[in-house]
This record gives sequence, structure tokens and C-alpha cells, in this order.
Amino acid sequence: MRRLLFPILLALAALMTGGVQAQDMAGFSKQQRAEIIRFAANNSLFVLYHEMAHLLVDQLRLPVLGREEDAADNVATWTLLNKRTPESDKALADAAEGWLLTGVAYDSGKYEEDFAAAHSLDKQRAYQIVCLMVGSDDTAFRPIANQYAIGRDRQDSCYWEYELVDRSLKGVLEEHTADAGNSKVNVTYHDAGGRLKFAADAFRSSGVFDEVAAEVRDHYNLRRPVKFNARRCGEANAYYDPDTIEIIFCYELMKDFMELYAAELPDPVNPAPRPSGAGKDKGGSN
Amino acid sequence: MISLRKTAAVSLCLALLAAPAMAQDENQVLADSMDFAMHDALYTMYHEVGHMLVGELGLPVLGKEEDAADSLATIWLLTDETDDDSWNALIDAADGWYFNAVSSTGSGVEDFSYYDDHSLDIQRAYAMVCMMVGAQPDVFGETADNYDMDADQQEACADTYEQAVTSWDALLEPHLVDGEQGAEIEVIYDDAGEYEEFAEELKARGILEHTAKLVMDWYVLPENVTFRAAQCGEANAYFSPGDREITYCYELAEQMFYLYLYDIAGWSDTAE
Repeated sequence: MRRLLFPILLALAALMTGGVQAQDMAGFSKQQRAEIIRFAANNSLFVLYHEMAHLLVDQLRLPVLGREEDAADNVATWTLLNKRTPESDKALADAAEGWLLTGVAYDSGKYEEDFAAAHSLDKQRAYQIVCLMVGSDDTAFRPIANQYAIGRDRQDSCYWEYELVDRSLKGVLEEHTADAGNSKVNVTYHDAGGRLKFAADAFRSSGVFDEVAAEVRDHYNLRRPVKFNARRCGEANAYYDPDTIEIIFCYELMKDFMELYAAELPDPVNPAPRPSGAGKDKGGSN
Repeated sequence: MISLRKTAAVSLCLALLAAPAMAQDENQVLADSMDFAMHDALYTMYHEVGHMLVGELGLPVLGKEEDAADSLATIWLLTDETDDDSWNALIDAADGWYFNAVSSTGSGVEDFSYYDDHSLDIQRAYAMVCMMVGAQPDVFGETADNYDMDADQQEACADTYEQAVTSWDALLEPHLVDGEQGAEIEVIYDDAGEYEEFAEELKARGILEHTAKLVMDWYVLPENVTFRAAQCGEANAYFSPGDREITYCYELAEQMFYLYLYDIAGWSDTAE
């Protein structure tokens, strides 16, 4: 019953990152390290809201007429769009970019079996996030939609798509949000040393796990207690386990997101000379 | 002169021998192509009914509405006790998506397809086959094998099918006919022009009428709805919420007819 996010991620991670030693981000400037951690935390946040959606579908018996994986992505995007803070907007942009990058890194869609998978292709997931963004607020998000080269007609139909998602989620969640505030969510960070320590620490101090736990606690009325466990898994993944009512986040996934973004930055071993020092570098690939 | 006549006579003989056989094959392929087009038409009508129910009954859709419409069409074809041919229609409709994908994406998938509101044609084929094998593993196991879906995937499809059926049933339950039927569905055939052959076939098989009857027998519609077959200038079908109308374009029947003839039966362009 596991819902694998990146089934083959770990096997490829070593190949992909090459010489980049992301385990402690040595060699990157302070600014770059902050961006790497922000990107990885934001992508983890999106993934966690996605897993929260699986939790809600299961525990609240929500009706899902199409692919549950698409529905879970929509719940994650919709949840972040409802916040409308600079941080949540950035989290959505990072999540979309994350799917684009994983799509390229792991050749999503190269193999016939990708088309038979429960998840949409990584690239489709990126576009769907941006579609709902521009659908919810075309003034604010027109630039990112244009950046993704989403055609004007499609941008217009994204409005109706967002309307449907918004109406639908409000409708099915209404009865479960009424007396919210009493759901029990127990968050545990398990120890992880060695090569995972830096990623584990960065994940914990980013606060994204606690943010999603608070979302469940404060917004939804769940009868049964929920466990949030962050730990070493042996794979870069996150999933909801309906048997134990548990969301598991693997530190390996945080590390993977960090390496994914670090690989996009200029080579840390031979940084280009900077007149004002690395600390003021505004580098990054956005 | 004699030899010439003799030769001519022999050719004529061969032609006479060959002609009936050829004609029979040709007729069979043409009949198969029409079956394929009409099977797709039925699937397409059910798909549009999915959109219509979402719109008219205000049903919640958490993922892609297009996938929801596909799942309704698949469930209906899997469970329609009044239609002996519906399982054949299912296989043809899935093949339709698959071969459409093969013929349209030979040079790679265009970028815009990734942000389309529909899943890729090939994903739609796999999703359908997944529901089919999930519902009836004994019947459609071979189809799933042909699509290279392994045993684990086929098994997981049982949950996928179960979730779709349970969700559709739960959402439609409050709208079930209980005694009195709801609003009417009117079926209209617009002038078919050069597509007359397809219009006649649609009428003879009663595809729009059967679809309308299923909806009216089962669900209470709040407002009257029209099912219209028309020339649209494109091979398509759609539900227009403003007009409360499902339009099935004759051009789509023609396109699916030739998809079968050329891409599946393997006729070349010069065959005619």
C-alpha cells in the first residue's frame, strides 16, 4: 500500500550528482547553501501536502473520480495557494521547478511503463501546479505561466480548472473542517547520522514537517490519531501508510532535493571570482 | 490474336476467382473499421456524459476532470448489462487511444501536450486497460498482458477500479431515479453532408439514443439536455455547459474509421 514518490531515485542519485558533495554543502557560498536548503525544504513541503492529501482521502473517505495522484497534487497546490504569502508562492514555484528538474534527471517519460504509472509524468505535474497558480490569480502568476510557455488559451482554461478544484475541495472537505482543531498529530524526528546528518538537520530546522502537521491539526477533523515520522528509509521517498495512519518522510528525499538543486548551481570547486565576496552572491538558477 | 485472347481469357478467369475473395476481405476490413469507429463513438458519448454529470449535478472532481470522464465511460462499458457488445467497445476504445498516440507522437510528444487538460493519449489507453483488468481480471488479463502490464500492476488496478466505482456511486447516489425520471434528453441529428454514411450508422446502432436512455433511466437531471450529432469542422466531441448540449462530430467517426483502416488494419493510402 505504499505510495512511492520516486521509486528509482536513490539508485540514480549517485550517478547524477557526480562530484557534487552535497552532504554538508562544503564549497558552496552561504547564500547558495541557503538557496539549496530553501529549494529542498519547499519541495519537501509540497510532497508532504501531497501525502497529507492521501491521508485525507483515506481517513475522510473522499470521492476520487480520476487519478488519486493528480488529486493529491491538486490538494497540495490548492493548500499552498490558499495561504498566499510570499513564502507559499515561492514554495509553489520551487515545487514546479523541482518536477521539471526530476523529469530531466530521471528521464520521466522515456520508458513506456512511465505512461502506465499511477503518477502523471514529472513534467505534467510541473505544468499542473503552474496551471492552478495562474488559474487562481492571473495577474500575480502570469509571469511564471509565460515562463513555462503555457499558451494563452490554456492559461484561460486553467481558470476553470482552478474553479473546479476549489469548488470541489471546499465541497468535499466542508463537513470535515467544521469542528477542526482537535486532530491528534504526533511528529517525531528520528536520528540520522553520517551522510544524512546535514539533510536531516536542515529538514528539521526548516519547519516544513511541523507546518504540515499543524495544517492537519488545525484544519481537519480526523477521528484517529496520525503519526508523522521523519527518518532514514534506505530510499529517497515519502509516503502515507493507511495501515498505521502514518506519513513517513525519508531524509534521503531532502538530501536528493538538495543535490538536485546543487547540480544546477555553478561548480562549487572553482567558483567564479566575485568582486564583493561570496557572501553577497545573488546566484541561483531561478 | 488467338494467343492474345487466350491470355485475356485467362486473366479474366483469375480476376473472377480473385475478386470475390478480395471483395470479401475488403468488406470485412471496412466493416471492422466501422465497428471500431462506432465503438469509439459510444465510448466518446459516455465520456461526454461524465462531463455533463459533473457540470449538471455539480459533482466534485479533485483530479483531472478528463480522467474522471474517462473513468465513467469505462465503468459504463464494463457494467452495461443491456449491451452485449460493450466489452468489445472497451478494447477498441483503448486501442484507439493507443494507436492515436502511436500515429500522432511518432516524432516525440509535443511540449504543449504536457500541460493539456487531457492526459496523453497513451496514458488514457493504459488507464482504461487498468480499470478493465481491475474490474474483470479473467476477461481482460490478456488485454493487459498485451499492454505489457505486469502482474503487480494488474493487481493494483483492482484498487484503482474499486476507488473509481465507489466514488462515482457515492456522488451519483443522491441523483438516482427513484420513481419519476428527471428532465429529458433530446437526440438531434444535424445534416451530415459527406458524412451521411456515418450518420446512418450512428442512427442504425442508436448510439446517442442508447446513451440518452441510460442517463434518463438512472439519473435525475435538473434541466433538459440535448445530444446532437453535427458537422463541426474538426474531429471532436464536447459538452457545452452553457447550451446544456453534448455534440458528437461526424468528423470524429470518420477519423476513427480511417485510424483503424490505415493504422490498425494496415491498409496503405493507395488501397482505394
